[in-house]
Amino acid sequence: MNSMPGNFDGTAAVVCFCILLAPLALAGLAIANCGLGRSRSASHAMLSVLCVMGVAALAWLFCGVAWQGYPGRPAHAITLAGAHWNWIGAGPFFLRGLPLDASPPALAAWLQIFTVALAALIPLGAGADRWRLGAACLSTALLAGWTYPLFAHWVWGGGWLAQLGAQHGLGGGFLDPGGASSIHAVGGLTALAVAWIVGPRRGKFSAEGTAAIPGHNAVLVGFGALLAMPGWIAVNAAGSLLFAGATPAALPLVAINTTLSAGLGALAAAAMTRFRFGRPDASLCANGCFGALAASSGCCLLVTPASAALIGLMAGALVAWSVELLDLRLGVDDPGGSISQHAIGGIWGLMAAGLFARADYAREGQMLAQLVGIATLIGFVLPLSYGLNWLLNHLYPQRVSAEGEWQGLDLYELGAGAYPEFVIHREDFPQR
Amino acid sequence: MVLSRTLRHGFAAGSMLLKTGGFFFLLSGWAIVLGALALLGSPAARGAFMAAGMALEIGGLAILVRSHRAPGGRSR
Repeated sequence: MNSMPGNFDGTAAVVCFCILLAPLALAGLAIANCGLGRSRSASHAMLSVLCVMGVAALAWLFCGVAWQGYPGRPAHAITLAGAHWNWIGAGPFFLRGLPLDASPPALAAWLQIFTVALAALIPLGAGADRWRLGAACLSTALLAGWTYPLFAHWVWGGGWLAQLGAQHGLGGGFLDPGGASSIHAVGGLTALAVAWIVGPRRGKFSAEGTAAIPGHNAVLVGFGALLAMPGWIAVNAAGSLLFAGATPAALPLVAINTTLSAGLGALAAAAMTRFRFGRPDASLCANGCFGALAASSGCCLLVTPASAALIGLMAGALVAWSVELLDLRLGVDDPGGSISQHAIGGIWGLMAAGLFARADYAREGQMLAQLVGIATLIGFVLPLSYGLNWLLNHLYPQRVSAEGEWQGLDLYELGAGAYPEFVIHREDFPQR
Repeated sequence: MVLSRTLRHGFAAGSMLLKTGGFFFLLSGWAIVLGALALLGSPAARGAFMAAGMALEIGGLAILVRSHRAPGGRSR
């Protein structure tokens, strides 16, 4: 498939413009994660982002691009029970054979240098304050070189999930225009695996209860959410054009849906925390906003603005509830709220795409197709990510030493703090 | 001392077993979903088997959450 719907040149120009804005999503997520961590690891958090982006781009361009492929490009498939199961791309490594022009495969490759980096930034939020820089880079290489391209091939590369409609009569196949599954749920489930493997921060859980360790800069967190919004709109728009067959005429709908969803997600989280704790919580509102953005990625093209508003509201409330559930009940220490924002928000967006799809996309079996995709994320991607990170942990321990955690990752791994003028670190946090 | 070490070892072994069981449930649930897709034609039967597969996955997730919590509620 080397043609794009609508006027090709104009569409390619729109896609290029959107891709140029995509790094804003990474910047927003990076500074929000930095603000949600401890001040003594702030510099480490930002350096990790830069290193992880580089590793993700390299791993994805080296082998990921070959395994992910693009509809119409070479792929491996098996025939089982009369159906064709296209499971992995078969292109050459390191971009060989890919026309580096304004063709859709080349634009998709460019976009995905950023989206794979976005997926790789998500686990950084869950491993904040105790995940070694080297381990984060190695884990990113596994994510960007294998897990992401494999799943993205199934969804965006003409793989078996995309063909659920043609091969198995399930609606239009698994739909995910903006990457709620391939970027956010894959990143969020990897974040869960990382949080389990590296364990909680020292002093987080004890026999007395769970300590509330607040983020060190709520302004960074809020600004990150604001900065991420235009980037998210751009990623959703470019994804809709490149992977969901949308024309540029659909972009206002994508942008309106994404913006509505994000705004109402933040509002829902504010209302939820006001109801729950008596006052709105700034960092949970940002979490709600990010969760609603992740949800919008799954359905931005497929639903009406009214449905997008409802989906954003639900996502914001769900994320605020889920952050508390993971922290207080399930014993998962996720300082950035990455698991709730991206895994829970993204999976909710994929379900919502099946539940609220507009008439053009509401075909028979669509909901089942979405559920097959969600089952694949939980039943395949989570064990795969956990297994890879577990193996890595045995070869190269991922958690920093107790001394390093006490010192802070800035001093221990980098030798200098982010805020040398201010050196106040608390060790005692109120129990909840 | 010996007792606490034995208990800790027992907990670790049990936790490993739980983790393995949890991942087995996740993969089995996914296999059921794929099997329903490949082998069943009727939408009702497909839907029922997919629901069963997803229920198994949720069970697996619950086991995994349990297996990653140490006695003090600590995640490991």
